[in-house]
Amino acid sequence: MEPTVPVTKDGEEHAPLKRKSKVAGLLTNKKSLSLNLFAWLFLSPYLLFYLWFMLYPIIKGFIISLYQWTIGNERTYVGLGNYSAIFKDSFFWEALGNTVYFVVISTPTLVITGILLALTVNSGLKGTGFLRSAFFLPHILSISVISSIWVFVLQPYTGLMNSVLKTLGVTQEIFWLDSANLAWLSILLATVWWTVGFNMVLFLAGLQEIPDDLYEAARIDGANSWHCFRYITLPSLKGVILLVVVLQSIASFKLFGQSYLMTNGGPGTSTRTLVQYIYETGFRTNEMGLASAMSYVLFLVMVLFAVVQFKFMAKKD
Amino acid sequence: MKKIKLVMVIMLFVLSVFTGCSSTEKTASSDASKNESGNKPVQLKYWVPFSGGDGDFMKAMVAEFNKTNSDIQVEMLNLKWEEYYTKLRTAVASKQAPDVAVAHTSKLGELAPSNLIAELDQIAPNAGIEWDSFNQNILNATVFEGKHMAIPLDTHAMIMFYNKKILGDAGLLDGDGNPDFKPGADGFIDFLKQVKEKAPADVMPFVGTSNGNVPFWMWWSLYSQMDGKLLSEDGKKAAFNNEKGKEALQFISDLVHKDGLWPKNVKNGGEIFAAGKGAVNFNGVWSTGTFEKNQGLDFGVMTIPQLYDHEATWGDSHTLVLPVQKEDDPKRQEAAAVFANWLAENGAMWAKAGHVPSKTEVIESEEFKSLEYRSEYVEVVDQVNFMPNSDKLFPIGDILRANFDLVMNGQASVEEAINKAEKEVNDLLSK
Amino acid sequence: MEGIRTRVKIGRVFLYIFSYSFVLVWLIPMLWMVITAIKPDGSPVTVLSELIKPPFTMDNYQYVSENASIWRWTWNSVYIAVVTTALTLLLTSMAAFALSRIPFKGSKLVFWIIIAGLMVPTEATIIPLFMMMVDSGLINSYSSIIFPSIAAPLGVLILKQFYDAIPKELVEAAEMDGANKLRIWWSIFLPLSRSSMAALGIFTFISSWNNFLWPFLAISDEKMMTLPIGIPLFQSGYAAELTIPMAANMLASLPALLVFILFQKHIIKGITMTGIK
Repeated sequence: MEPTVPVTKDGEEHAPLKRKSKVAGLLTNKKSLSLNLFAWLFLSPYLLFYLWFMLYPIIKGFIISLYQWTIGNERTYVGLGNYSAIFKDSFFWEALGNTVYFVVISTPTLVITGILLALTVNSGLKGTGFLRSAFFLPHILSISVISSIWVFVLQPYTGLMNSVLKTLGVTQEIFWLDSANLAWLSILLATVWWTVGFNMVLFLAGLQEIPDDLYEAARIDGANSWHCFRYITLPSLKGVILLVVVLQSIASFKLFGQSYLMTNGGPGTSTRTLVQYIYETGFRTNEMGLASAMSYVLFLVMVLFAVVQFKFMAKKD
Repeated sequence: MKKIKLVMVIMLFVLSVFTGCSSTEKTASSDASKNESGNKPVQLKYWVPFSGGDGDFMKAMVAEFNKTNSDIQVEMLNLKWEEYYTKLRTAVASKQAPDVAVAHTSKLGELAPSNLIAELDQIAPNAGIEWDSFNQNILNATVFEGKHMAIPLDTHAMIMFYNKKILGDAGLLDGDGNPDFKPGADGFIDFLKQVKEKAPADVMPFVGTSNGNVPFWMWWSLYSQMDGKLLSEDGKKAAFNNEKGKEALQFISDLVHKDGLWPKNVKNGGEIFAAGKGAVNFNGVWSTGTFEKNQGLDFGVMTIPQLYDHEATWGDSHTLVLPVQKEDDPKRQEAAAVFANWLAENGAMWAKAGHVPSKTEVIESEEFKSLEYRSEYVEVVDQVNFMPNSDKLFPIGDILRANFDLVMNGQASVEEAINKAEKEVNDLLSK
Repeated sequence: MEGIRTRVKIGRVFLYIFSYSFVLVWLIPMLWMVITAIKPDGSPVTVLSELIKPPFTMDNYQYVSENASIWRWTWNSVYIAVVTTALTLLLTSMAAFALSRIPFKGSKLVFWIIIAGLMVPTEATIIPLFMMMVDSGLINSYSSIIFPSIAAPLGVLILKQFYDAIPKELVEAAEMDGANKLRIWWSIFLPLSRSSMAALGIFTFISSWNNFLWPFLAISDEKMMTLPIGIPLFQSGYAAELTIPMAANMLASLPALLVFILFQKHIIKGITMTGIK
């Protein structure tokens, strides 16, 4: 990339900064100094927060992870002891497994539902604006409200879902939040309801960028709706789909609110996610060092996941 | 263009307000109304973990205290049971601790050695606390290394509630109006089977919340009836993986899975019983007050039936502790102790919820004796088998609860659950 | 030809029926919340015919506003969201301007350091953040919630991309008129980036409004709680009742619903532009 040539007031041309001659350097010294000053002036307020609350915690987190460290600030150096303890901790593996499981079940569901909703909204029905708003609406509610609503909907004996199912002829009482599989299904259901509107909006934007003539041309060639979707819509959406897949899997990796508030990680520990386990280790059992080490592992797993996804995508392109 | 500038100006304004925001809290509390003597009342923060009906009774007590004590004003925060001690510990560590808080005796073994709560010996005389006036058994459990660490408030136990109308209609009450069943586990099961047969179809023969505490407490009650031990003598190993431990859990599991007497996955057993849809409910004595508020409900109480060798039940005790503060303020600590002592002295009010007061004089008072059932609860307390003192008792409870939950919803067998729990407890204790 | 048209028409009708019945089902949980919140305690709330006929009551709302610090929590949520949004917009815009338009030594390095922050989920730094907040005495304050949110690098990235696309002729013209960098930022870049700023602002506001994990850890004082933290706390005392928790849910949702109704076009446009959760 060729650097742009800055032009001063009187129209005198400077050489690009990197290749400037000694003489020109002397001439512009004063100016670049003031530019430097300005730049740092503009940057420093943000950088201050960034360094203080983003970079420093990462470093501090690593240091904490090398200690046996309680909230009361008692600490003993254990080196990588916390990390080796994690690898032997079956709860950690279970929580990691749960988290990955949710990523695996939620990502395709949320991507496919998002596309379907976007297609519905985009199909030129009357009341498009209403449909779009209705599907998006749950996204603005807070996770506490969402979870509370769904817990009441899914409650056995007195919940809305089972009452409706009963009137439809389902005689058996279904325990949505009390068996591992159904609990995951319930968490997934609530998550879809809560967040799919967001994905839908992204897909809508992608759909609207597809030129109409593509479809017209296809129709003249006798293509049916399925062909249009398969050979025009889907390939055109590829970029958005990849974006949503990445965003969604990252969001699913961080699952905490839904599972914590709806099942509290239960039944047993079968829906306890990594973030919840980190919270419990750090704050309930007061092992900040161990929890910090787990956070690092979570972080690494997420980075690894992202890298693999990018590689995978690059191959497909 | 103008709009965006306007927005920026507003932002800058907000920023300038923002810099002064951290002090808003202090100004707010200093605005509090002055009392008669012209002094500002001491403002105390008080934390409790009462999720059920208890919360309302405690709220009423705090309101009464604030009304009668103009120089101390208490503000109560009721936290979720599951998060309570986590929040309490973090609050102490972050120098934001409440002035006074409820703690279970079973938790003191963990709180006391970790310097989270203040010792009370110096404050007690000034606050008018007389240690002699408490039930000495309960008091002793609050003494660590010779120091008083807590003010006992009550004792509570698990008992059996039964719906008189349902059992009466089914002809299952004896001449005195007590449930009619033969002793032993089989007798109790037969009784519940008869309930199932004779009572209306929408009545649950046995009801209790299917996960968390209820199965855990029930297991401990039955296991205690066989003299089971939770931990080894030295407290370093799990000691519950044996025939007795499995038998107790098997009994509970059979109620749900084999005989279908306890419906699966009940979310709120107490509420279902209160609504008249359950015949028998194992629950804490504290549910009494809530059930009494339910006018349509005609219920009776008795001890947990003796299913094995002798009578025994689960129980614990609420105490009041003074969490460690950023800096000691003797005036505040004293006020907190005065409040805590007031709660204990007015235990008859607290007994309305169902708890057994910690002060002997309260138990002997007319006010307490006039409350139905409560005098019987005093005897129930004697049957309580308290869990052993361990700084890991709560995490052990978490493990047992999680594993029993798996049995309750059919994901694990009794054998699997007990084995897994034993391994996890041993891992925990060896840390 | 006729045949195809009828087929298309029938397809259309089916699409209408499907879409609108689906949207109805979609909205049921929300409608249920709205209606249950105004039913008297103990009324059957799972039978449709019972649900839609009176009695209705505002008692639940009254009870919630008297027994929960709901107004205080709402104020906290609004305050934190507004300040976070304002600060984020201001600071990231300044930083993005510097990175985009002021050539200085180390510019690239700074940019990459900031962008690397995108990889770090807040969830992975809760432990050190908590310790820092305790040590600095910021815990339980508005600042403890606001500061970490401002450090998020997303805004810098979005605005820098936008600033990079602003034609340099505009800047040159202003510099000819003797405008300095501060002026150029204030009177050219800010007004031009209005739509990006709005998008970023909306995104920041919604994430702050819905922020759960960090405030859950950092706040233990009831007076400092935000709605997502206070609501479950209040509701835990009413596990088996339905009407009161639903009224609490409604009250907690009203401000967000209001914002949504007023700004829904911007919100949806904003998401399209930022494209990040």
